Amino acid sequence: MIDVALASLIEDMIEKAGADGVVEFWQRVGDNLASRMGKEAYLGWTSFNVAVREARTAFSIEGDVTPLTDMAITDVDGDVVGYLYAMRQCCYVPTIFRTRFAVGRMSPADKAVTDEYNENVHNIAVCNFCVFHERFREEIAKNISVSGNSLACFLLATRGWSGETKISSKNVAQVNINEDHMRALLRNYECVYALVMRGARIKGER
Amino acid sequence: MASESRMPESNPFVEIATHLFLEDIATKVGIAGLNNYLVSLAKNLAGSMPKEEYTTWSEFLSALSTGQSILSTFEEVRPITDHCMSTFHSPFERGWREYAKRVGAFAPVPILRSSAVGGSTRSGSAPSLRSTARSRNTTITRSDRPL
Repeated sequence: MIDVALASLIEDMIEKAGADGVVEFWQRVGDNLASRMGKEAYLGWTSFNVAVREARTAFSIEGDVTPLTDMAITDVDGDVVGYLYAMRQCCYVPTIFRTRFAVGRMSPADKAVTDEYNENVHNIAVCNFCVFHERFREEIAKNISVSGNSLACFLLATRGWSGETKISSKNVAQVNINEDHMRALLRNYECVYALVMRGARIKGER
Repeated sequence: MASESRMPESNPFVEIATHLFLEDIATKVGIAGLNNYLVSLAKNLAGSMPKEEYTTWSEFLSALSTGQSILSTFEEVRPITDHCMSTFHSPFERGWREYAKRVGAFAPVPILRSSAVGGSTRSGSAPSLRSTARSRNTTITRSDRPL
């Protein structure tokens, strides 16, 4: 029930703090949750990807994450420094369906917060939950190390419940992935992100 | 829950995030402020629900026990008598359980005096969050964070 109440809560908060204030609140909540999750260390990408597949990492809190092990990210020396990860369903989609079922329509607050984030922070959100989710992933990645290197997370592409898609040109260029690949992945997944070793010199980085 | 067969399960992550969202508000406006927020939230949410009308009490009872009424959308309601209803589980139970499992103990909520949060907490109106949101701008904007 509380997930359905969330949209009403945000509607109420927009009146008090504005859409920009809600964006800041959501980001802060992302920071808080990430700071309360423990640190993790893995010997290498294989063990990390197995842990992701078996839902044992901090990222597993968001639901079923698929490591796209055929989509490795390499550095200038040709070493693997990251992979793409994807979710078949956005965490917030069940809540959207539950809200539409119980209330009848999504609150306009959802769009207000999404638009605010897209215009002023990062044009990648397809629902208000993306605001929290992106920050959470960025922060949690810092707490995870693979081969002694902490990770950085780049949200690459999202697909909303209505079919609207967003691809982050900035992040896609950062990890040197072709946007056409992103579009292809969005046919099967609703959220695609990259985890790379922090500070890695990615091959072909634009 | 009776409604589970018709409604998809929520993702536990959303429920945990919502609890943290409430914790964050409580940190800013205190317990009384949060209570006012929750009351306001309940009014808003209930106000956005569609109206229902039943011709007889038995029709209403039937809708209630089969999860057709808005009162039983989120929780299983079982009539004890015609006018006495019971719920077996709290609709918040799953969120609490997931929170305890994945995050840990609930964070303590600071007790703030109403004067410290810039508004009356007894009047039923939620205190302003605008100033607190603005004041955090330097610490949580994206551009200030190192990669």
